[in-house]
Amino acid sequence: MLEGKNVNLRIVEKEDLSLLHEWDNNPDFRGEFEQLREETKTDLEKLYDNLKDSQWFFIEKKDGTKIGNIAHLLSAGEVEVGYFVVPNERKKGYATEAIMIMVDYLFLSKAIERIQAKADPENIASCKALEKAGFKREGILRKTFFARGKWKDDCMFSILREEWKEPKILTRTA
Amino acid sequence: MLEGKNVNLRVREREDLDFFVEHHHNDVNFYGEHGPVMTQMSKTEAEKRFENPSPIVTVCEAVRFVIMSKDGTKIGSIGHYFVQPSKLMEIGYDIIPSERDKGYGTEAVQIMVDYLFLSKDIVRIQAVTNVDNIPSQRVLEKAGFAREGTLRKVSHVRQEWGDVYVYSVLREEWKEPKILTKTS
Repeated sequence: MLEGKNVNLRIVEKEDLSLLHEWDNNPDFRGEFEQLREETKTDLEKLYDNLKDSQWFFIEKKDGTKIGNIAHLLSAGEVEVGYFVVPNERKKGYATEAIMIMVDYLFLSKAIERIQAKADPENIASCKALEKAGFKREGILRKTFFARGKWKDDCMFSILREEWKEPKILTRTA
Repeated sequence: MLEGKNVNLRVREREDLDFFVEHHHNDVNFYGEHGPVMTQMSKTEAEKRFENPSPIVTVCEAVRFVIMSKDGTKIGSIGHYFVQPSKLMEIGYDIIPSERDKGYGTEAVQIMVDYLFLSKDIVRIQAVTNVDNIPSQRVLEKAGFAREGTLRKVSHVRQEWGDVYVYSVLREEWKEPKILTKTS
């Protein structure tokens, strides 16, 4: 488990998939910026069994309540992070801290120079979380994903090892 | 889960197989006088097919949902799939006999149409019904579909080759979701 100030990141175990499944299949929960999708438990299990270089973590409050998830994955050769916080725990800084813990973990454990993330430019909250976590906007990918009936732009963000310099939260491991 | 006013749609999971075996497969009258008689199926066979879907299911990207009333009772099913090799999005639906004539079919179709136009970059959704199946035609018409034409002698039902009507709804006619209107 990766411990932060207000949240911990705990790796997703197979027994936890039913909670993720519930979150994934609830359109209102996912919110207006997420693609509508309905997947079976089997689909999710298949994804979990084929993670390869990716890892899924739950974001947990200090009392153990699961309030979101954050993952790192390989996207066309680049290490990328994606995250989600349940609706009633938003605007509390949890995503920002989860992203910072994940960045510390990735730069500490992998010989990489760059971590990227993408957010819909209209999803102000998501863009702010990345910026507060030290990411910089690089550019807009135009009409790159289909969500809620329209082709949408995505904004590419990244943080470089030389900007990160040293862990902000996982300091006891350095 | 996709929530409507009087019904919800949830993707079919392993726990739903009993429902399908009991109604769709083992009740010879399930699809009525204008519908096919499906092969009888054991639970074991149903589970085998769920675990290892036939290549057709994969090629056509077929997904089936259970239709549930608001109290959680399973009352039917609705699925979407591509008719191949032309890759035309088509839907098929059914309601158990005791819950017909209550508007559930129409609402399930409307929810599915909203979901498909919101989640996929398609401009057309089609459905076919046996020419004698008036209630099914009404479902589509109330859900905004237009009848395009007749396909002759395509459906083998109870010893005869029957005609079907083709219906479709276009994104430009649908315009915006009717039921899946909340997004956040």
